[in-house]
This record gives sequence, structure tokens and C-alpha cells, in this order.
Amino acid sequence: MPTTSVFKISSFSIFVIVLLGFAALFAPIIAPYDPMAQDLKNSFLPPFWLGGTSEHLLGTDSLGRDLLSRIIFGARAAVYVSVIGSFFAALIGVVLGLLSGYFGGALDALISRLVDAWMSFPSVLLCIVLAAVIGPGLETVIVAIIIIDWTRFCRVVRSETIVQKSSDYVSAAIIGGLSPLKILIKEVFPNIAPLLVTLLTLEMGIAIVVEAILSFVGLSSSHIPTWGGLIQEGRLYVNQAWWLMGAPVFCIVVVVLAFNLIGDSVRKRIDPVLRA
Amino acid sequence: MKNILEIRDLIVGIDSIPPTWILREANLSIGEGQIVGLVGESGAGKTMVSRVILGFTPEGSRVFGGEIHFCGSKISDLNRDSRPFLLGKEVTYIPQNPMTALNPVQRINDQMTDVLIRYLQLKPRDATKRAVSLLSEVQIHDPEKVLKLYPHQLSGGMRQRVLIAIAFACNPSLVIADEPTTALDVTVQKEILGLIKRMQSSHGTSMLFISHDLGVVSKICDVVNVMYGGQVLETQEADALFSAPSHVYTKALLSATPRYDRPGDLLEPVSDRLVTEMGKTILSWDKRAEACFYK
Amino acid sequence: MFGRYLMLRLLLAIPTIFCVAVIVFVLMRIVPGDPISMMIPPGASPDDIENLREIYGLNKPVLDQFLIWLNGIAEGDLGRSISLKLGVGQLILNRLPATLELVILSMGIAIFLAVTASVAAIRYKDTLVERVLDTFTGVAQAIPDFLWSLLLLLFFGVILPLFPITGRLDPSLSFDPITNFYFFEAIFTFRLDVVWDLLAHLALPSFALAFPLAASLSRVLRGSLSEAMSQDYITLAQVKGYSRLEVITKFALRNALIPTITLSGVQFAFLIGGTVLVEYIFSYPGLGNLAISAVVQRDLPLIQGLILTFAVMFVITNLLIDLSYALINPRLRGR
Ligand SMILES: Nc1ncnc2c1ncn2[C@@H]1O[C@H](COP(=O)(O)OP(=O)(O)O)[C@@H](O)[C@H]1O
Ligand SMILES: [Mg+2]
Repeated sequence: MPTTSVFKISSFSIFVIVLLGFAALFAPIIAPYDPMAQDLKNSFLPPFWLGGTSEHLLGTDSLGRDLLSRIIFGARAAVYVSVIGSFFAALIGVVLGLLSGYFGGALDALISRLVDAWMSFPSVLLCIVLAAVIGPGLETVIVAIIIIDWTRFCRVVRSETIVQKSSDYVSAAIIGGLSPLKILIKEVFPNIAPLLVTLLTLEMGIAIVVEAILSFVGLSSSHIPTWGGLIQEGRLYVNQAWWLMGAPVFCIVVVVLAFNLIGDSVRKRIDPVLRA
Repeated sequence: MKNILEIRDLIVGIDSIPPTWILREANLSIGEGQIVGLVGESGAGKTMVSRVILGFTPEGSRVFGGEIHFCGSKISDLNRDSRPFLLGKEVTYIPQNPMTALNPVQRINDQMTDVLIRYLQLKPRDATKRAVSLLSEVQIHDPEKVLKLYPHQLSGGMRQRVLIAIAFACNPSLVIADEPTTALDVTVQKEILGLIKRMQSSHGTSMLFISHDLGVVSKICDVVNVMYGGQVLETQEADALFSAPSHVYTKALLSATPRYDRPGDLLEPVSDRLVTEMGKTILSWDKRAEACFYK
Repeated sequence: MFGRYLMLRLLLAIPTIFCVAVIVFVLMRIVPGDPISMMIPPGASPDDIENLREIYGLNKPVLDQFLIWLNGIAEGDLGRSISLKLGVGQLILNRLPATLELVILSMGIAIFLAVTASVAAIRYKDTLVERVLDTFTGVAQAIPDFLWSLLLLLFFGVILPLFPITGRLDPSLSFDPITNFYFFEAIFTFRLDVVWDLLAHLALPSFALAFPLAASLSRVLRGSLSEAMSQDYITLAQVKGYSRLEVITKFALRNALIPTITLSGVQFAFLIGGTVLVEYIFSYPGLGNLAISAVVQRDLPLIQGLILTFAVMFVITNLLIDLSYALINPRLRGR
């Protein structure tokens, strides 16, 4: 019985993630309307099942823009930002984690202190401050994701590197006279790569939330539709047209759950490492 | 003499397919005021006997057959939740490892008085008074002070004394002691053994004393049961068992045990041939039981 | 012995707070952008701008600005808010009670939910109850407080309008509190209508904050509980005749709380960070809401003051958690 439920969960996650990727890649093709095109005569149309029309499946916003199209383009922004943000967060975290774990000593102490300090503070807050200072925009969100999340990678990679370092094949490589850089790249990194994939999966879900938060607070680009931006607009009209907020919230919740379920099932296998 | 506890043909097993048998038609009875010993090598099922009496069969196991009678009434078909009226008041327990058996976050006072308040309806203050006298009974000096301490502040021997005091607190009819001295230092062992014997006779309690050590059992028990493979092979008065053991296994066990009365005797391990033979008996029992309970 | 430990912790907290102060201060100044430019009226002369810079001390070198700020803090003066033209300290003190009430209520709810859920899961192990609780915990943990706020707002504020979705107190209720601790004051003055209205306003935000915390707490607590349940002292408790529920609540729970507290201190502190967005979503007049508007207005002195306040709240929460850990674990209590 557990196997079937895990299978179902995974297929749900995979379905959602494929859908998300598809929407992001082909947004201009699959979106029925230009997400910025206004049509003031047709503002606040409800979704089709609440008495709207089949022309605007999810209805329209205060300016008559098609909600479905805006959500599809919002997915594009979310994926773009999260993928790039997660990648660089992972890059920084992995490099620092490898160095910290492999060389130990003062460098390790310094990096570990930094990570501790970083993680002991609500990073979202720091991020909002930072984003406010840099000024709004997609790049800001990317920077924010990197700043929030490099520590997750760093911590895990560090502890895993320490484990790897004490293994026989690394000792052999050291005795064999391989330079530390080569050992890190050729011996240690391939062994932490599977772990990294899991971390990246979990990270994507987090990054999408961060993106939503920052665009919700108005710190992402205001020229393109973002899920957080849609929520923010929807919040204004929530008493008249709750679906304007409901639809993007639903999307984020589903995506977050999907990434979490995948991350969870993978995490169960490598739990001890992640908990360290 | 009246029996306080009677176990008849008790069969317990892990409920798998086919079942793994743990007790194979075990028989045991405890007379009023007696200390009854239960000896056997590790894995013989001694702890299981005590757990079935208390109603704590481990997860996955169940009673397949047989009966347990306590003071004349059948308790083997009561589940754990309908037994509390017995547990704590009528039947109590002295655990094997005193280091882990006390609640680390409760003062000794609370751990002793809770049963007194619960079962004897004493007021907290009277319960504490009673606890003080119980602690002096188990020869703890300065009981008032000890009552205020936490378990980690006491030594192993002290903790076992506390546990003995708890076991006898409500004047139970039956105390089950499962290897109560195994986890203790040799020097402390002797004292605790003497203490248990003294407490038992001064309270007039019946007791099931479980041990793997024939030497220990011989010193304090009235009647001894020898157990192997989930069966009680032989039941004898303690003196008789040592002078005239009837079962071959008992004889083998006796010659494998150091004798206080005959120091210098060579010890003989239980022979391989005997072990194989007894294994065969068990196997044939299992076959019969399987045919009976697993169709 | 324990007192010394506490003192040590307090001393260690000072450098943490100092570091946060330095980081924030530097961060706010190394990046391009000028807070003054936001507040000048159209048509202001360069002289006016220079005047403003002087008033807020922004024309001095960064190190001097920092020293002046630190000096001010030592004297209890956090500077003046640029956007609100009021003392930062006063602004923060006005808003702090609202946030504290939210934080305390959320933590209380989270602890209650976590303890109930884990006790129930252990009591009804291997039954449907446990599986249902598993699912709830998983979902509650996966969804962050930001999304919980929006979901609760939608479902219990709009679609099913059970609770108000903005503010702290219905203005039509005449209530003139002396302090800003509305809730406590309303209780002490027996204004039950006010208490009720405050609770209604607090309901959605506090549950939104409590859910993820409750989930992560109950994960840890359940692990510790089920480990505690296999201990010998639990067997003894059962043999003493306690029922399963009694054994869990009276014996296992306190023992399980010890590892739980060590493992989840950070989560408590994170709830404080969560208030920022949640207050913003529910227009709840606390520090978090103030922080967002300060950030959007680039009000440097206010942002600095707020971050410092959050850092102090963090440190205090951590201290309280350490304290409760020591209180519950007899091995740490003074002998
Ligand atoms: N929970 C359990 N699951 C499976 N087998 C068990 C369990 N508990 C006890 N047993 C088996 O029951 C037998 C008797 O165990 P026990 O009563 O503890 O022996 P003793 O106390 O005489 O050393 C052993 O063979 C042991 O393997
Ligand atoms: Mg045993």
C-alpha cells in the first residue's frame, strides 16, 4: 500500500511540474490573450463556472486583462527566476561548502559562522530590505533568492564533504599526490551530486515562494505579470472578485506541494545527510 | 494451599504466517506467600511469561491458547486496558534495569506516592509519610532527602531499592521480579537479593522470581520452575530440585552452574547432543501447533 | 550554576545583535540610491536637499553615521523616521504590543496543536487517525505562512466570511486603552466585546503563523514521543496501571519535550520573521506592517531600528527557549 501512494504522489508532482515547465516555455503560444491587453468593457468577468464566458476561462481583472493568460505568463516569470536563482545559490553554496568542508580550520570556522548567522535571521526580511535597496525588478528577485538560499546548499555540502574527506578513496588520492582542487572536482563532487539534485528540487519550491513574496510586496518587475503581483492586485478586489487572488494562490500552493512531495520522497532516502 | 496465580497450557506466539512460537503450553502456579523461581537460559521465554501475566505481550504477538487465573478468576482474556484494576495494586513489577526504569523528569516522591494516592486513596501528605517509611524499610538512609531527588542523582543500587519500595507500596498479592539483580554490581546484588526476600516475607506477598542463574534462585525460592524453549520442563521444591533433579536438562543445567555448596567441582557445559534432542522435541511441538492454529 | 549560564548567553547575544546592526547599516549604505531623493518635493532646490541631508546626518562619512547611530541607541534614541517624521523608538514602541500579542498567540496555538496532534498520533498509532494526522502535518509544513495567510483569508475571510480580514480592532467599538497591549488591557478591564473582536481579528493571522510551526514542532515531538514510549520507565508506568493516554501525557510527554525544545528553538524564532508578511497581508498594525512600508519608502532610520528590534526579539526568544529547556530538564536545574 505505501508503494502505491508514493507512486500516486510522484505522478501528481511530475504532472504539475511538467505542466509548469510547459507553461513557462511556451507561454506566448498557449496563452489565449496578450497578458497586458486591456479591455475595460469586460473587466471583472468571473471564471466560466461562476457565470463567466468560455472566452475568458478564468475571467478578467480590473482592467479586463485575461486572468488565465496572466497566470501562464506568471508561471514563466516564476520559473525563470527560480531556475536561475537556484542555480547560482547552489553554485555559491557548493563552492563554499566544498572549501569549508575540505580545508577546515579558520576558513571553515569563518564560513560556518557566516552560515549560522545567516540562518538564524529571518532571511525573507533581510531580502525584502535588500530588494528595496536595489530597487524592484526580476534581477532583484534572483539576487534575493541567491542570498537567501546559498546557505542551505553550503551547510549540506560542507557536512557531506567532511564525510567524503575521511573516506578511503580520498585518502588514496591525497597520498597519490592529487591536488586539492582535482580531488574536490574529481572525487568529492561526483559523490555529492545526487544529494545536490534533491536539494535543487526542494530549492525550486522555495524559490517560487520567494518570488511570489517579493512580487507580492511589489519588489519584482511591474512590467510583466507575476504570481505575487497577481495576488497583490487580487487582494485589493478580494471582496468583489475573490478568484483574482484565488487563482494565483491555488497555482502556487499546488506547485509548492508538488515540489515538496518530490523532495520528500527523495529526502527519505538520504535523510540522515540532510538532517546533519 | 491456595494458588494465587495459575498458568495452564499457555501458548503465545508472534502472529505471523506461520506463527513464531514463544510460549509452548507453559504451566506455572504460584502459591500464596511463596517465592516461585523461574529459571532458564536467555531466550527461554521467561520475560514473556511475566509480560503475559501483566498483559503486555509485545506488538504482533498474541495468546493462542491456555489460561491464566489470578486469585481464582480468569484474566487471560482481558485485554490490557481492562486490567489496570490489577496492575499497580494487586500485581506489581520489579524491573531488570533500575537505571532506566524510573522517570528521569519526576522526583522520587512523585514516583512513589502516585500509586499510594491512586490505589490507597491517601492524601498527598500521608502518601509522602508512607513513602518515607517504605524507603526506610528498603534501608535507604535519610528518606526525606531522597524523596526530593531525581533519579539521576541516585546510584543503581539505590534506584533498585526505590523500585522495590514502589513494588511493595500497596501491599500487592503478587510481585513479579524479572532478573532484578542482573544489571547490578556483584556486591550490590547480594544485598538486593536479601532485601527482596525480606520484603516478601514481611509483607507476606507471593512472588515470581525470574532469573537465568540457578545459584541465585536456589538461595531465595521455595519452588523452582525450569524453562526451556517456551515450556516449563520441571517444577520442584528448591531443595528437591538440587538434590534430585528429574529432567535431563535440569541435570545438565545444574552441572553447568557453579555450586556454593560444592566449590571446586568442574563445570560441564550442556552437551550438544542434549541441545539437538530438545530442539527436535520443540520442532515436533511446533508442527502439531501449526496444524492446529494455522490451517 | 544556571544563573551563570544565563548570564553567559546574554553576553553572547550582544555581539550577535551588534553584528546584525553593522550588517544592516552597511548594507543600507553601500547600495546605490538615496533615501532623500524619495522625500523631496518637486521643485526643491539643491540647497533644500543639502539641508535635509544635514538634518538626517546623511552628509557625514559612513563610519561617523554609524557611531552617531550607536551612540543614539546607547542613549535610547533610534533616530527619526524620514517618511513618518516621528521618533523611530516611539514608532516601534507603539507597534510592538500588537506584534507581541500576535506572536504570543501564534506560538500558543502552535504548541497546542503540535502537542495535541502528536499525542493523538501516538495514542492512535497504526490507525486511520495517525494517517490523517500525517497528511495534515505534511501539508501544514509544506505550505509557508505567507501562503497560509492567503488561503485562510480566502476561505474564512471571503468565501466563508467568518472573520474580519483587515485591522486589529473594529473602530466602531469605543475602546480607549492606556497601553497598546489591547488584548491584555481588555481582559483586565473586562471588556469582553473588545476581547472577542481582537480575537476575531487575530484568528486568521495567528493560525497562518501557527500552522507551519505546529507541523514542524509536531514532527520533532512525535519522533521524541515514540522514542520515549519505548523506554523502561514507560513500561513501569504501564505496569503501575496507568492508561495509555495517561502514560503518554504524564510520563512520555515531558521527557519528549526536552529533545523537542533543543531541536525547534530556531523555528520559534522564525515565526517572528513570519509576522512581517502576515501582518502586511491582513493589514494588521504591527511592526511587520511598519517594516514593509519603511522598506517601500526606503526609510533608513526606521528600517535600521526595526531590524534591530527584530534581532533583539530573536535573541530574547532564543533565551526563553533555553530557559524553558533548563526548567523542564532536572539535570540542568540548579542543584
Ligand atoms: N517482540 C518480539 N518479537 C519477536 N520475538 C520476540 C519478541 N519478544 C521476545 N521474542 C522471542 O521470544 C523468546 C523469549 O524471549 P524472552 O521471554 O525475552 O526470553 P528470556 O526472558 O527468557 O530471556 C525469544 O526467543 C525471543 O526471540
Ligand atoms: Mg528476559
